[in-house]
Amino acid sequence: MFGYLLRRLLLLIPTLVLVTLLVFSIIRLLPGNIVVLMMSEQGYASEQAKLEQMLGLDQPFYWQYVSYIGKVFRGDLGVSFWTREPVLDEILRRLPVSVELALLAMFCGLLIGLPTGIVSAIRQDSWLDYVFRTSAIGGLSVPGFWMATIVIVAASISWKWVPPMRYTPFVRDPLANLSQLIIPAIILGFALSASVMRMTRSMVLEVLREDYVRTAWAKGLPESAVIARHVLKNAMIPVVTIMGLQLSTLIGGTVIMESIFVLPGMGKFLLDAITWRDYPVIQGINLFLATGVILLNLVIDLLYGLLDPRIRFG
Amino acid sequence: MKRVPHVTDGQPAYVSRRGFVKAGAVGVGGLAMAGLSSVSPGPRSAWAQDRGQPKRGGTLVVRSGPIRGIDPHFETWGATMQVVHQTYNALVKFTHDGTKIVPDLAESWEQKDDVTYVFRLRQGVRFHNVPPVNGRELTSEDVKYSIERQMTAQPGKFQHAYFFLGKLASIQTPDKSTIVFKTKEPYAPFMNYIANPWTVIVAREVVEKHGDLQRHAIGTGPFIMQEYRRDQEAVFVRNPLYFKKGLPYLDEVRIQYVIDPVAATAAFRGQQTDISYLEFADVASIKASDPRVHVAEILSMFPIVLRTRPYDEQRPLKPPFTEKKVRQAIQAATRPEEFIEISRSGWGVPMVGPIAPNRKPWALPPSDRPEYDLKKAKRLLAEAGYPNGFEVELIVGSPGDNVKTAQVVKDQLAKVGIVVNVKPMEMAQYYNKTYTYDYSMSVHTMLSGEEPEESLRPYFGANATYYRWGNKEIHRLIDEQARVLDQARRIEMIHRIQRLILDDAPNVFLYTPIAHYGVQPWVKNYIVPINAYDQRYEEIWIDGKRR
Repeated sequence: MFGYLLRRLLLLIPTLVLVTLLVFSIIRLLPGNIVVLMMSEQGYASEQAKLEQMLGLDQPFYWQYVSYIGKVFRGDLGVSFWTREPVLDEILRRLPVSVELALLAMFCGLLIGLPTGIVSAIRQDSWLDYVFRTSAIGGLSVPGFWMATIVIVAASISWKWVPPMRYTPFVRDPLANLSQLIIPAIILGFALSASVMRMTRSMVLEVLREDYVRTAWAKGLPESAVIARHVLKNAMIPVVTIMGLQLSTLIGGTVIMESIFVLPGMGKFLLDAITWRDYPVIQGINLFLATGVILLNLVIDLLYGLLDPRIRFG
Repeated sequence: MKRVPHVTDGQPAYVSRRGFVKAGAVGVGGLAMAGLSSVSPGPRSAWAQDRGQPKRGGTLVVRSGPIRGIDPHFETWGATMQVVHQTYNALVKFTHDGTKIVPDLAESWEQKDDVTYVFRLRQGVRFHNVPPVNGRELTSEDVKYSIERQMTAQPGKFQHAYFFLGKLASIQTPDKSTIVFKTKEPYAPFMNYIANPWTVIVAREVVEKHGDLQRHAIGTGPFIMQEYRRDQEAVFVRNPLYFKKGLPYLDEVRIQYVIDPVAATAAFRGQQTDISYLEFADVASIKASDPRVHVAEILSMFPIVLRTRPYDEQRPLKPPFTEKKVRQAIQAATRPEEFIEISRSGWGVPMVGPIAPNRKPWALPPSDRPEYDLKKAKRLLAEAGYPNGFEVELIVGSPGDNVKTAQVVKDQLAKVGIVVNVKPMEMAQYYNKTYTYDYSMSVHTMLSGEEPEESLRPYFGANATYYRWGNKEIHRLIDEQARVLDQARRIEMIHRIQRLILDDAPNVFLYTPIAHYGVQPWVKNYIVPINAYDQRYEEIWIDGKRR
């Protein structure tokens, strides 16, 4: 187990080097030069070469990359070209917001998706099954940004109410924090619940047909015990995989929610950085996201072992 | 509604003998914009509410848009000014309606000769009582330091250097309350730039302590910044040492950064913000949802133009734009009223020349407006050798209202056989095309401020940055007008330059949008300034209950 963990962690290094190299190259290949962008805001003629030198963009590509990687290993992600603020500080300030929103959304998604998936499976082809399956299709097809817009506009017109727009960190006031985050979390969770529900339903249906479940029924076990102890645990591996994949998508994909609900997270920050070609910020955020996704996958792989003792890490 | 008279003659009491302040006052006199009918360039005042008795206390919450930093000398975005004007003061400033220049930190000023300006500071002005300034007195050295800082020519320090860079011979401080500016030659825009909302006075110690002013704002202003969280909020509390007795009325100001326009409108409707910029599409529903809410309408300072291919010595013109008649044909085939109706639902005013119509006396009268005449346009095209028109690419930054404007250009020019291929571009790519002057046509936004030169030099001057037009006669006249201190002569020259530009037709000046601000009923004495960068809240008070 320890050896496996160590191997996976060591594999993190080449993966991250590859990710940074890709991000580093792709943003420099995009049309739209940061130096021209910055010059465009100057109301007087100025030397482009000086600005390039100031930003370190006068160096050859490989040297820029090597120097960046060297700094990353020293814990320095550089400073934003536009605000001159350290990228690491900015990310650390925003990361908790995005992570909290993603976890809350995940929680809401599970809260809706798991029970409806189980009920749909054990009451297959009943009216409940049809209602839940239709809702799930709805959750998959209605875009989150549309739902968020409708919720915020309708509530403000009908009741002159909007969720609080002043962000309060959880540690300072949990209630105020949750009152701002809960609506975007439910909206995100609703979309997520659709895939969780569908995956749970099909897996539970599959497991229900297994011999050991028939044996459990034959032993006269109550329904709750059969479902919880024998069906659910065995049906969970694909569901956990889906959740892991969704969580990483959620962290990176909360841009619209953060924008509409005025949350100072990473999504909007990344989008602005791309718009303004703020290379150090784009690189920094991607490094964080990539590390997060890799670690998350590792956690999920370790969870498999807990769910299914037959899986061994060697 | 407050109607502001045009200042066209006479001088305020503090004006010097050579009338340079008069130049400033007259220059912005015509900004006054009252009345709200769209598509009509009638005079309008800055929007103001009914007053009443001032009341002390309360919190004002103002919605703001995207912000990058809060350094007044090196930033360019409007949201920066909502922080700057609560915490700093300028030597002098424009009134909200832009009709005249009035004292701020300077109690008096005069022009000694063509190149010498003397300012005297008010006595007893103190910086905020916070480290590192700890309430120390403002001196002339602070003014000198601030102006020199603003004209830093370092790359990456944006925008405002051109006010004074290369223009000043010296800044002297003979005593702690006198500042003497000497310009290298007569410089007509001087007072307008000294009164510009970005020209505020900062303290050297604050810059030295923090390295820059991007996250710290400590000045002499009516409010002390208590907290600043970029993209979230900025919180200010009343400055008890403020030099204007009795001001500010508010105990607290909170700037809330709500970037998404849908969320901003919802926040205003839900009464989480007291003042909010509104999208024109939301105006009717806001008014309908609560009749007590005020919606202020004011002409924006950002007119919309249609540009043809830029050129200079390094980048010669390319066909078909080498033909002046082609450019004139495009001018004759465009009808501003249609742009206003389709792109802005009627919220706008047609342009005549580069200077917005409310910037009298600098703006050209409506009689100078190029005629909309399709027959003439077709004739001009035929004479230029394009009887069947031609195909051209038009780039536009997306997303934004300018995409709609570009579609109208396509429809209008199709009537004379010009096939316009609209190419919306992601902003960074669009700016790169624009600022490397590599495009055939584009729809863009201009600036029309108090100083008329700002609508001319950066676009049509010899070293223009925002656009390039290599007409040497226009370059010469733009340089020359800046040396003309005589007001009447300068107005005549500015008009002449604009007529030359209209005749050469590098751009079609389309329209100036009307902007909307929602103001909750309990907010009193808020005057929406004609200059979007003027964001002073010191005279606002709260009276009446929130819901």
